[in-house]
This record gives sequence, structure tokens and C-alpha cells, in this order.
Amino acid sequence: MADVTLSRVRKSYGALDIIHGADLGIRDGEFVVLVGPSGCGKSTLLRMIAGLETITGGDIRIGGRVVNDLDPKDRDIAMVFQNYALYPHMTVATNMGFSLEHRGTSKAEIAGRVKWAADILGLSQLLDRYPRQLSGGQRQRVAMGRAIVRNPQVFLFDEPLSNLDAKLRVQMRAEIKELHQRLKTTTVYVTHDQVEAMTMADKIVVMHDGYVEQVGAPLELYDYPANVFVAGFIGSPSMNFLNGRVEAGRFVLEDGHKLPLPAGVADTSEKVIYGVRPEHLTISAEGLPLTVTVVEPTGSETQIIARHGAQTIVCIFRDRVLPKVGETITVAPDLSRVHLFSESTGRRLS
Amino acid sequence: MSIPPLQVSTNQSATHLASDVVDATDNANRFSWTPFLWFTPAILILFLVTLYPTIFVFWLSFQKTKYYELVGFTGLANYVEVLRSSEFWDTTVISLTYVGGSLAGAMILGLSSALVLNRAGVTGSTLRVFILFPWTLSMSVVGSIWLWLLNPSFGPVPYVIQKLGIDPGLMLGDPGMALPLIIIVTAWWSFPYVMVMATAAMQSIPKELYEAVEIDGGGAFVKFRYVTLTEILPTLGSTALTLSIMYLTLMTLIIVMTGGGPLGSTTTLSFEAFRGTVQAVNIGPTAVVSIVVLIINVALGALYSRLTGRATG
Repeated sequence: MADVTLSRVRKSYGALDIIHGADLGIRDGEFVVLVGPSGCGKSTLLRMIAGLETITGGDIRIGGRVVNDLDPKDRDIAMVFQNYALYPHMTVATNMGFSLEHRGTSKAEIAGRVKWAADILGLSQLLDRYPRQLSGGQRQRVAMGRAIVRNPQVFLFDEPLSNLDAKLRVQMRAEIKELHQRLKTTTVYVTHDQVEAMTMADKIVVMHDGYVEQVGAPLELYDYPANVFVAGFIGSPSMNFLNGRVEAGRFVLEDGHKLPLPAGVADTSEKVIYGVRPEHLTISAEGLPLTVTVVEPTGSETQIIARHGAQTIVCIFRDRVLPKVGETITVAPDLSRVHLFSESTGRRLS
Repeated sequence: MSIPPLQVSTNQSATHLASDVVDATDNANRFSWTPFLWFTPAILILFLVTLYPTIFVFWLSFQKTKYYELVGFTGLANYVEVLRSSEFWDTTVISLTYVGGSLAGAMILGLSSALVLNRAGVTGSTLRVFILFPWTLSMSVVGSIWLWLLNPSFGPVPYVIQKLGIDPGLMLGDPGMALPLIIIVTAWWSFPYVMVMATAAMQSIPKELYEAVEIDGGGAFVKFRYVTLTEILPTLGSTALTLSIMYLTLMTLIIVMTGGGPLGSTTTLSFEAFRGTVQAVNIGPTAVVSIVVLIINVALGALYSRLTGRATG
């Protein structure tokens, strides 16, 4: 177990900058999730921690030790790949014991550790099978077993659940979280799925185009997104954004409609983005009129997609509100859950 | 806040689709001779070119002949004569040595060049095109080139060997050296084929397997032994079999370079079949030699189709 520190880490392929100076501190035992859309650099960052990619600039420290020039095998890390990367011609037991064999561990100890890992992951009955005889979820567990057998300082997960179906994904999510609570190993987990990030992480790192947009606990990112990107990325369905200005204590939309603002917001001449999450809108007598286009009752709640002029607004209501398509509803935001961002920089206006 | 659940459909219980049943009945009801009629020309040509000559040779092996004249049916006398002669067994040994040696040479050279060039990026790809060169030449051209290269009087190879302080000797004129030299030339000619097959197989290995080895602590040898080799072994196996079948029937090179000599040291079974038909005209026993080659090839072919069948099945 160790802490991981990234200081001004950069990655370039020739003239192309992939990662622009990432700073990150991961405490010993923390479960950190790197999340972001495809191409944001999260996998590259993970592979740089693993040693599978070279570091163009900056330092990466594991357990206080600079590992920039160390081979992956000398960094005391273990990785779980998206496509499992199991050795196809070896049994589950041999797959799991492979790394220990090449470090000169005794056969008895290898067998013992493999058994320990197999028991934790429920693989005891499958030790003599080959990867091709296993289901996706079982293969993923073997990949995890291969990682934990080594008892490394850091676990690295590269989108491990992407190849599993939805139901299995939910189940494996819980299993990985349980594993972490049991082993308490520092874990860096990469995913593009913000739900995985929110449910599993102690700390989320939101990345976008090679930049770290925000780092914080899941609820912190949900309640206080630092910029428009994080606000729109975290939370599903995404936050609604309206453009306009702050005038005389009210938010004025481009078409003249006025919306209430939380207390203490100063007038400003710059253009402002008003953000409110679908779940923080309620039907009220006074508010923003919307024309309903789609009604999606899911049983536990009702999702309504509506339009205000040219703008699409998504609402989620706990109560079973079922307007007809084309009807007008009026919604008002929960003022304590309204977010304001500068339109020019995208950053949060406190 | 709850998220609308993802609706992902996975047919994990292998339910039968209604459309499958419809298709099956359609096919069953629509049997006709038309497809087979389209095959007929191809089958006829196949029959004429392969099956008919084979049956003819098989029949010839039971005949007594005098030059081009058929004298009479002799049953198994030809077989007895051939299988009893020590020359036949010498020839068989030479054949097997030739096949084994060329195979070993081609496989080792082909696999090594594939390994080296696979890691060389763009330069490797360009080099690969040039290395393909020997395989593109016809056997008679290959033979002529190497005849000149190995000529004891003015060939570059003996010259270089001499400069290194070793006596090159008679090269192809030396009964002890002729077969090894032919093997080297055959390996040179055919290794690009192995290289191409091995490269194709290697490029379909997922990169992550190598990365997993890197993290697990293995070096280059471990990567080769546990990832590369095991993944490409089926391809190497089928390549080896195809080459073996080819080497067994190869005779052009021997005709051009040594004519079966010196002193019969490069007379393989196929060459003997050629010579017995075209030169010595001893049809009956020669037909037996052809049949022996056929039997070995059929065995290899059966092995090949069984292996590739298992790979795809």
C-alpha cells in the first residue's frame, strides 16, 4: 500500500500534447477514479502510472519513490485490463500464479496465494479451467485474481467493466468495491461511465482533453462542479444549461423570461450560464413554461423532455406527473441547487 | 436520484428465433440440381488434371513396361522390385533429409525475420517487401542464380569462403556438400512464406497480453515463449505442413542445379520419378516411386486438413 503522486505530468506524441501538466495526489488506501469522455487521456495517465507509456515531463511517485524510469515490473503495481489479457493457453491457476513464478516464489507459496485469491473471488472451482471456458464475468475475476495475488502497492483498473453486460456490471461494481474495502490497497480506476465513478470512488478525477478539470469526492463534484464540463458530465441525465444575464437580482434569459436566483448573487455584465439538474426542477404555478415533447415514466420516477423555445430542458419528477405531449408545464428550480457559470470561461461563479 | 436503467439485450439463453425456423424450412424445400450443374465444369477439369493421371499412374504401377511399351500385367512385381532395392531407400532418406532440412531452415529463418521485423515499425514493413523477393522467383531462376553464386571457379560464395581461410572445395560437385547446399537454397527461397504467415499471426496477438507480461515481471524471452509462440503455433504448424507437401514434390531446383548428382546424392523421390519417366524411361517401377510420394503427401494432407479443421472448428 502506498500513496501515488503525479507532479506536472505531461505526455506528448511528437508535437501533439496528450496530457497537459496533470497534478494529482492519491493517498494510501484511497480508491480514485479517473473519469472522462473518450480521448480525454485517462487511460494514458493510467498507463503512465503503470509504466506502459513513457512520461514526457513531470514526475510520478509511488510510495515516495520516483518511478519515471522504472519498468512496470519494478513498480510493484498490478493492472486489470479492459479485455482481461488472460494467457489463453494457461489454466486459471497458472494465470494467477504466473507473476509469482517469474519472481522466484516457491511453489508452495504460489499455491497458497492463488488459493487465497481464488477464495476471495469465488474462483476455487474454476482453477483448472482455461479462459476460453469461462464467462466474461469469470474472466474478469481471474484478471482481478491475477492482480491481487501479487499483493502490490497499487491496483490499476483500465475500464474493466466495459465489456460486461449491464446487469453484470452492477454486480461487479459492488464486488470491486467490497474487495477494496477488504484489501485497502490504493486503487486507480479508469472509466468513462460516471455512474461507476460516483458509486465506487473515494475521490473522482474528471478529465477532459488532457486536462484535469476537477478533483473531489463524488458528492462534492455533484453539488459544487467547478465548471460547465464537470457540471454536465457528472449526473445523469445531464444538468440543464440556460444562457442569459444577471440583472436586478434575477436571471434573464435571452427571450426575456426571468428566473429566480439564489441569494447573494451580484449583478454582472458578463454573460452567465444558469445550470439546474433535472431532478431539482418541480412543477409549480409560477416559473419557466415548457412545452412537453417526450414523457418517459420509468416507474420510480418520470422523466420529461420539454422545450423552452429552441432549448431542450430535461426534468425528472418523483411524483407520477404525466402531461400529454404538446402540453405546457411550468417548472421552478430548487434555488439551493442552482449553479451559475461564466459563459466565457465556463468556470463556476460562486 | 435514480438513473433510467440501460436496456441491453443479450441472448444468453440461446432462444430460437422464429426467422431461423422459417429459413430452415425454406432451404429444405428449395433443393435443386442447379448448384451442382454449375460445379460440373470445375469438377471435370479437376478430374482430368488430377484424378485421372493419378489413377493412370496407379494402374501403370502394376504394368510391366519396356520403354514406352506396355508389355503386360505384373501385379506387385514392380512394388517388390522397388521396395527391395537399396537405392530406393537411399532415395527416400535423401528425400526426407531434404524435406526436414529445408523445413527447419525456412522455419527458423522465417520466424526470426518475422520477429525482428515486427518490432521495427515502418522500416520493418519496407524491409519485409524486399525480403519477400526470393519467394517471388521461379525455381529455375533460383537454380540459375545459385548455380552461378556457388560456382567453384568464379562464384562469389566460394571466393568469400576462401578469403575466410576455408577451402571451399567443389561445392555442388562434392557429393557430401551438394544436398546441404540444395537445402540452403530451398530454405532461402521459401523462408519469406514462413515470414509472411508468422507476421500475420503475430499481428493478431492483442498487445495487452505483452503488457500483462511486462507487469507480471517477464522479459523478452518470456514474452516470446508464453505469448508469441503459443499464439502462432497453429499457424506455424499449418505452414510447416504446406511446405512439407511442397518440398516433397519439388524437383525443378534439383534438375537445374545438380541433375540428381553428384553420385545420386541429391536424388529425391520426386526427382527419381522425373528421371525414371523422362530420362531412363523405366515406367513401371517409376510409377511405384510416384505412388510412394503420393501416399506420403496424402498423409501430410490429411494431417493438414485435420489440424486446420480443428483450428476453425
